[in-house]
Amino acid sequence: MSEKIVVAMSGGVDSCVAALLLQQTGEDLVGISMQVWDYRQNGGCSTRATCCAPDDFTDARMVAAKIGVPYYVFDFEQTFKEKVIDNFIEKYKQGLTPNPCIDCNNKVKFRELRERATTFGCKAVATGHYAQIRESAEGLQLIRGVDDQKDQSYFLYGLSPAELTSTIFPVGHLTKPEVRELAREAGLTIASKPESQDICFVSGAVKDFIVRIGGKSPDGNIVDAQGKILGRHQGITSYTVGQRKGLGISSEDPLYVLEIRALENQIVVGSKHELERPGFKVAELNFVNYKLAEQYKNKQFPIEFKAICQMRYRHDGVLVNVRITADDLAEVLFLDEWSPVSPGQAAVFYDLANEEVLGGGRIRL
Amino acid sequence: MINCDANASYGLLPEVREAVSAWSVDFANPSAIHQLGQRARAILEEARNELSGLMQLDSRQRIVFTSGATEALNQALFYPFWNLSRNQTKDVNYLTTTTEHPATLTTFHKLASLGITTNIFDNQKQEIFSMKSFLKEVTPETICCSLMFANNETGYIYPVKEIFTQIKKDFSSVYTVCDAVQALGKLPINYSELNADFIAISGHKIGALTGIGALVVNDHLPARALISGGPQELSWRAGTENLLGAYSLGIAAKVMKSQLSNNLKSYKKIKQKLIAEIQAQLPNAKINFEQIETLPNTISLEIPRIKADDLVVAMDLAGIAISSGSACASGKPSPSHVLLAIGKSEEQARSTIRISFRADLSAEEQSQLVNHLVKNVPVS
Repeated sequence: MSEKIVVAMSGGVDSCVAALLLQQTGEDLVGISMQVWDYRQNGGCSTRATCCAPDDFTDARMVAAKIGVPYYVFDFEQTFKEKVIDNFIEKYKQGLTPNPCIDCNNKVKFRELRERATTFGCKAVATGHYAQIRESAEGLQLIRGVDDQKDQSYFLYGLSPAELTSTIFPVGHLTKPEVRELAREAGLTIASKPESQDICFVSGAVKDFIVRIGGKSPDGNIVDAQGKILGRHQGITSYTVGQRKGLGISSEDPLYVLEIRALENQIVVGSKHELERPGFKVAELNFVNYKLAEQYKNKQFPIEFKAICQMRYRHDGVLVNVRITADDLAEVLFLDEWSPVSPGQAAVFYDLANEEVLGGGRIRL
Repeated sequence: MINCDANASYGLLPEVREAVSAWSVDFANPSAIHQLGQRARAILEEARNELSGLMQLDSRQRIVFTSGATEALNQALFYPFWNLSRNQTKDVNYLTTTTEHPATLTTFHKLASLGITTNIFDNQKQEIFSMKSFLKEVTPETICCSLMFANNETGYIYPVKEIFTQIKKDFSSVYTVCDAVQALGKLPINYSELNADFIAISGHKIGALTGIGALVVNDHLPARALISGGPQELSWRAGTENLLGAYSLGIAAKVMKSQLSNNLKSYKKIKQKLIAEIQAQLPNAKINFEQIETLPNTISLEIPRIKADDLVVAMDLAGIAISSGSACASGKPSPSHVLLAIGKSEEQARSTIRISFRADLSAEEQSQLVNHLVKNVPVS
């Protein structure tokens, strides 16, 4: 069988143009949509613009037919449920703020899809992510997408250096307007399709989704740092560290969620300056930078470097020092300014030019 | 591409392709008075004759051209409902089985939403359909019984003639509807003997174009059309007829009739050979309904622990079209309702593929099918 490339097609403009560009260079493509979640059975609304909704498959199928790429829908519901949804709900119940898109990329798109692709004789996986892969003397590097507004490299820190060799991001060097223009030129009707928003499997509020799928977590007390009861909360899964609105407590200074104590079923609140911390820890580490990945694999501790740390999607990043002295635990110190720390979110380390993704992990206190 | 998904669409017969390519009739409305119209009318009636010949219809049966079998089934299944007087809907019921095509089942659901009691009979958990149990479900309140002749996914053949004959004997007022889509051209059936008031067939399942089908209606029934408008098709189906489609259906019917006995022999030979080779090379594979006579071109094959959807993709990329359950427009892969209805677990259903071949599947194509199947089934 010839060396084919699987292109993950959500039906959105980015992945469709990714397929188009590869097809124009004469690559032998197989287009695949991943059915990850049954919107009809789980009360989601498929009319909303999301990635991966069944309606979008019609668009993906149409585009694939138009550009002459064989196209299939694969059922990933089981994997997605186990590796993304269950974890998403579990993390919320532990008082964390998880990022399901990262789990989806790490455990579904770039693992399971790649495995399935291999069985069809495909050598590489292409997606419509706004990120780039660059060759350097030290190996391949994962680089931010050219479009600052759309850059999605944050979600991709879980790739391994080896995986970079068989991953293609055909639109990473383009801006979103350029991608739309290419779609228009090619006569693709999806050219002006709205952006996908939020989390693909959640329609409405995240807290409602968690209650619906995972069951309601019990009410409890809102306390201050000294343990004084200030009010009641409606279940810890409805709160995020750093949150200010919706606490239902009147106070002279604005109150922020400082900590979520899952075991005590308490939400701790305080003033903004109480949020400030010298740093945080990062677990579930992965390095995509070749050199760091090698050092980490060979346990050449301590590993220490300075980096720009992006602590959530669309965060500007702050200068930090990263020090790893043991397996799977990095100590991160703010060197310049601090930023609110949300346990469960991904901390992604970029080089000092703030371009190359070095690696990252999950924030812990 | 090798078409081993002929139950989804047979593909044009060479004779149909040739005739359609050579189509040079000036377009005219078959209802028009002038000679152009008369010529079009002649083509339409010729096609009707050919189809009637293939189906061995008698003078009490009329062919109404439709856009396909789905429309034909909608027309047939709504007919008894329309004949009810007001407030009568509560006292009557419709009967069918769980293994029917969505064209029937979804129409049943629609009728249920209009107040009809629908009995979707589930007696095939032990695989073999019990005619006796099914007939027990027919009551004096039953006004419509719909049964397919052969199942599209498993090839299972239902005793339509025996059942309809018995029903007509016991309750003469029941409308009997047969979905004969998969049987046509694959089984030697005299369709005038079915005791069916309505028989639905599809053009592209016998090598004609898509977009053409027919409903055979019992002549004594007054017309009541699903699609209202002009008096075309003896007022059973309004709208100017699909002339080219009907023409292609006529050609296909003519060819299928002349080749039927040869095709039946070919089907049998190919099926035996494929089953023997599959069983020799994939000893884990289980042929569904192996012990009974099913459609001669259909093999329903369960290969434990495989993902049928993945196998379909791998085979497709190798140039061979097979299927895993019936084709679904939305493309959402879900386990086949037919396989679940005959008692398969969800896992078994997801490990089942359907091979449905044309009568002209060559020896070379047969070996390629088996070779690629073996190559793409993971060694366990």
